[in-house]
Amino acid sequence: MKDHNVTLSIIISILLWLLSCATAFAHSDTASLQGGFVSGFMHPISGLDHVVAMLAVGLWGAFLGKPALWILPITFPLVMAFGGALGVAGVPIPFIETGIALSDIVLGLVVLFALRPPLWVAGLTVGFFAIFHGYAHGVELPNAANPLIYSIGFVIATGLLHLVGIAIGELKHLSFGEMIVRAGGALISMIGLGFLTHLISV
Amino acid sequence: MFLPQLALAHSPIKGIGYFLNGMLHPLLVPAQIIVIVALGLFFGQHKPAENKLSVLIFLMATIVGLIYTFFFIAPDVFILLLVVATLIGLLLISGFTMPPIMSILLAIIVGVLVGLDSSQEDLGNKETIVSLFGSGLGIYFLMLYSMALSETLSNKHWQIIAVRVIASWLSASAMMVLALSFSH
Repeated sequence: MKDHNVTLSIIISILLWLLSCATAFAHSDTASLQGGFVSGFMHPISGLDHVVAMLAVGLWGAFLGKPALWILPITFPLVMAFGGALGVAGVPIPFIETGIALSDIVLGLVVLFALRPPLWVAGLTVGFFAIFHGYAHGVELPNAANPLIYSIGFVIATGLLHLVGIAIGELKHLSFGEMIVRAGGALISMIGLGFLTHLISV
Repeated sequence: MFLPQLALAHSPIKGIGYFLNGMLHPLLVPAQIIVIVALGLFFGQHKPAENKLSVLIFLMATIVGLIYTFFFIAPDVFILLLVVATLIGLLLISGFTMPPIMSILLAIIVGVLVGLDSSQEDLGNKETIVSLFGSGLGIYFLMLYSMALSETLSNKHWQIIAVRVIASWLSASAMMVLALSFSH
């Protein structure tokens, strides 16, 4: 119990510090908020196409169970960083928005059909789409007043979305839970289709 | 800590004195936080007995870096901090059992680099010494707190996974900014 309290205290302190640093590291002009932690943190959260893809990664991880449960959420930010690096470097990758919409469709479908491929296939699939998401974040990076704080913000937001997806995915243990999770996959696919056909826009 | 609107990285916070300014310095420089936290997490995943020497060496290496920066300003330490943070994050994610020499090596590298990155070029000699002393304590406490967190999170399987997830976040953040730095 004591250990839990210590852990909780440390985690809350770190989160409070991070959230309070929105303006601390930025330049002292009006760009401070834009370039801070909050700006980076909000970037994945404010885009529905990003949000549903991250949730789908978590849902799929929960369906696949260990070790995919943790390998996918670790793989995603690392490959996303690689995609971000390509964006920062200005390497042209066509159809980024299409790739992100496709990630929603494909990841939603694998959850809908509760597909359980080998781990390396799941890792490759998630990694492939992570490049598109990372690229989209990466092109924003040079505009941030403090790129490192911005990066920390959006990587943490991405990770937390995965955790939300995993938490929802754990509903599968309930009698009607799997149906709910698979319905979530269907919804994610439809949202992706909406983005692909421009019926939904960010 | 909770009113950092007044703070700017590498700029003193008015009204709290040179010692506290120095102590808060590692918390106001994101590259330092990342690498120190990564090292603390790395140490915490090993048995306490294996870390005694590394923790001590880290303190000594930090002092060496701080003393050096009193006389000379080292350029581009920022990039090296991010490279090391990325590597430590990847080591943590891999979960490989590292020989004790690796912990000692990382303690030396991180300690010296963080010390070198703590320069206070705008202050007089006396104020610089007070500020660097504060920085040394701040750096050491931050590493110890991270290590304590990591040790606390080393008993159950999900806790070890949580540390790896945090490590992946640290590595990913550092890699992105490295790419940005190299692209310039």
